[in-house]
Amino acid sequence: MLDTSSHSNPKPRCYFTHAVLSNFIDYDQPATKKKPFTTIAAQTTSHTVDILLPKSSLSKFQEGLGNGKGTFQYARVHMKLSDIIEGDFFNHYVKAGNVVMLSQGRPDIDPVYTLSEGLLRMEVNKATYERMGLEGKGMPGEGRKHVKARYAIEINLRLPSMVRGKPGFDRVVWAFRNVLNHSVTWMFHDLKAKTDESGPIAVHQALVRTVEPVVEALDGAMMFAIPGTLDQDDHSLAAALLEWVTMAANLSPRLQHNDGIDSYLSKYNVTLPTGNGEAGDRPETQDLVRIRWHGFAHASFISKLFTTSLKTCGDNWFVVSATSFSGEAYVILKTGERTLTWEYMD
Amino acid sequence: MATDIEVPGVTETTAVTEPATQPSSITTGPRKKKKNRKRAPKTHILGQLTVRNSPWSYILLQHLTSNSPATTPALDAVTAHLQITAALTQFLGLHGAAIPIDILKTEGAEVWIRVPAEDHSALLAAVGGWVSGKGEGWRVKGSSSWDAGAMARDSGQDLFDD
Repeated sequence: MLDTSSHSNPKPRCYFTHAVLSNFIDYDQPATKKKPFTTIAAQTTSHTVDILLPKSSLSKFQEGLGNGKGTFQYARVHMKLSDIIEGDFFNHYVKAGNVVMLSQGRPDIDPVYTLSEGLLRMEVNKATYERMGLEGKGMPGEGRKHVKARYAIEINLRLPSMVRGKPGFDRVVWAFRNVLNHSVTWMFHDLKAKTDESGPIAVHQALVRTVEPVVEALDGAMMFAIPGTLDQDDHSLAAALLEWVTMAANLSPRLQHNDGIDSYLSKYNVTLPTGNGEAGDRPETQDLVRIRWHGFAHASFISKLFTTSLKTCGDNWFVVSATSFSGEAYVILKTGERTLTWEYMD
Repeated sequence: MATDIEVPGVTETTAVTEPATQPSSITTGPRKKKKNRKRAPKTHILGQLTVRNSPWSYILLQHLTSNSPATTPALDAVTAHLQITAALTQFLGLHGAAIPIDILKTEGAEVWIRVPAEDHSALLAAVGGWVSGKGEGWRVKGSSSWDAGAMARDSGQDLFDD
């Protein structure tokens, strides 16, 4: 009817992958080229990480998270871009160390700067880009087709040529002195050492946060019958299962078997198993818990959570999901020896 | 020069050995088979697909009132449904009233709803331009085609300000 947006925007997509976990998984060094580990690694930073488990697995999982493995630190700091490429901070964190940083700003609207693996990425509008004098690429955006409104500039600060005195580096210095010279709020996480007030970041009065998980329960949830096999073109089943998982992760009372809502207010019901689809067949119920971390989480932390759940949950199912600062998200459902992965945006 | 001669020599020998082994494995099979031959079934991926048309759209709305939040009771599903339907009716009349809304969750002043994907933009427009007689209204906090949590794209930004 009034779907004005569907013509201008690309339709949202959801990539679904159904994979088998290998028999042997090295918990300390998980595979780097296999699903779902590639999915976790591809999303460098996330602001919300959820784990959904049956209540029976919770105590074992929390044991596995013992001695500080279930928390992470990050710092919030006000810095100029030029502070990154100067002095101790540059040598200690960027050249020798390994830090992840992200600046404040709404994706695709405000200027956004990220630093990961020594690669500084700056997404700026056209006016700023033209004044900066650095080489970048146009970003696809909504609106006019052949006019780029935003540009992304990527600089690898770990290159040997990125030292003071080299012309390429001096251009970066010039841009940070004269164009991008405002103070920015950053998220900061050190991958080599514990993120705290020590080290060169102390100069900038960093505010260190420790993120503790929050556990919430959803009792008596009706279970979705997770299918053993999925047809190559069974899109609706993949979408329905994702709906159930995200509703459970959102602790929706519509999943509870004693939920007495009128069908006028909500017509949602859990898809019954198709095998014994007799009328009046009630789905199985389980008590679920959701464990949520809200902070500046790096992919390595989520990977650790995933392997911990693999270790502690045994044959039980669990779900790991994470949402990034730019709106991308993934959901990984592990059941038996298989994993089901959804990657989507918006 | 010597190396220059040797290198082609090496490639030649492999070129000779390859045909020697291949026909033995496909002795009788037709030539077509060679094309369709797959690697050993080592792959760990059972299936991959792209879902393009989401059947639903999930929207997170915040209920706005002129009262102070302390005195306002938490939003319940009936009130939420009533007021969203009122907004849709005002905007699109009977057509609007016919849009099915499912209340997925209410928490405080927030409500998560689900509408058919085609009605997504109609609902956003309707709730955005509606104010009740008592000055109540809606604010769209986030929407998603896949995630029932309907987190906004900038939902991580609160970490920069807390």
